[in-house]
Amino acid sequence: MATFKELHDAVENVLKNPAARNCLQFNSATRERAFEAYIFSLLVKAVKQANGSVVIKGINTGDNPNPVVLRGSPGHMSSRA
Amino acid sequence: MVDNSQQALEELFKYLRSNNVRSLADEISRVITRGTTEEIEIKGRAKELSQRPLHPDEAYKVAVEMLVASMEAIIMKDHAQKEIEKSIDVRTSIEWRKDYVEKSPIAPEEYEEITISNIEDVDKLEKDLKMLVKLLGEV
Repeated sequence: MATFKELHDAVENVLKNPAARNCLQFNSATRERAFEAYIFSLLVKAVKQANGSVVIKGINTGDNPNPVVLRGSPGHMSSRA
Repeated sequence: MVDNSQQALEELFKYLRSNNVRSLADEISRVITRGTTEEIEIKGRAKELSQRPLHPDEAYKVAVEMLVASMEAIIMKDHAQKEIEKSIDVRTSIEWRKDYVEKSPIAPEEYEEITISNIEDVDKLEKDLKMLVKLLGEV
């Protein structure tokens, strides 16, 4: 069982990290976008775990683009399985 | 020296406001001041919902949960980038750009282009945040 003192100390420890300070400047739109990318990466991982191969296709940039540009809006994923 | 959750909460708000993270501080403040709802029995009748203020312990936990959520963006983006790089076998970056099509039923609004910069020591941040989440579950 943890105490509030331990929780408070852990919060202080996180806030000392310079990376944390940068993250705190993100607004809620940024967090939504990051969540979109994260969910997308989970789907990519699921396909690979099912022994599938993944091709990321940009509408204007073709296969496996660099950078990967996400839209932040609904769209389609497709499968040839 | 922080002796209780009320002081811890006040210290957290002070930190956020002094570091110019006003939007998160305001968001947390809005959620906490709304309190919570619970079922109460009124004169032997069926239970009804009632609104009550959060105890400082509960409020501090809510604030810490929101703090963790606000910092998860960089970790999610880091995971996503690594997973995509593994798939296409090329180092890449992830960006969000303006995207609209002509003849859309409504005109495009101002769109925020976002690039989440890579931050050093994300692994340490992730480890520290996981510890925080673990403690939140145990307090």
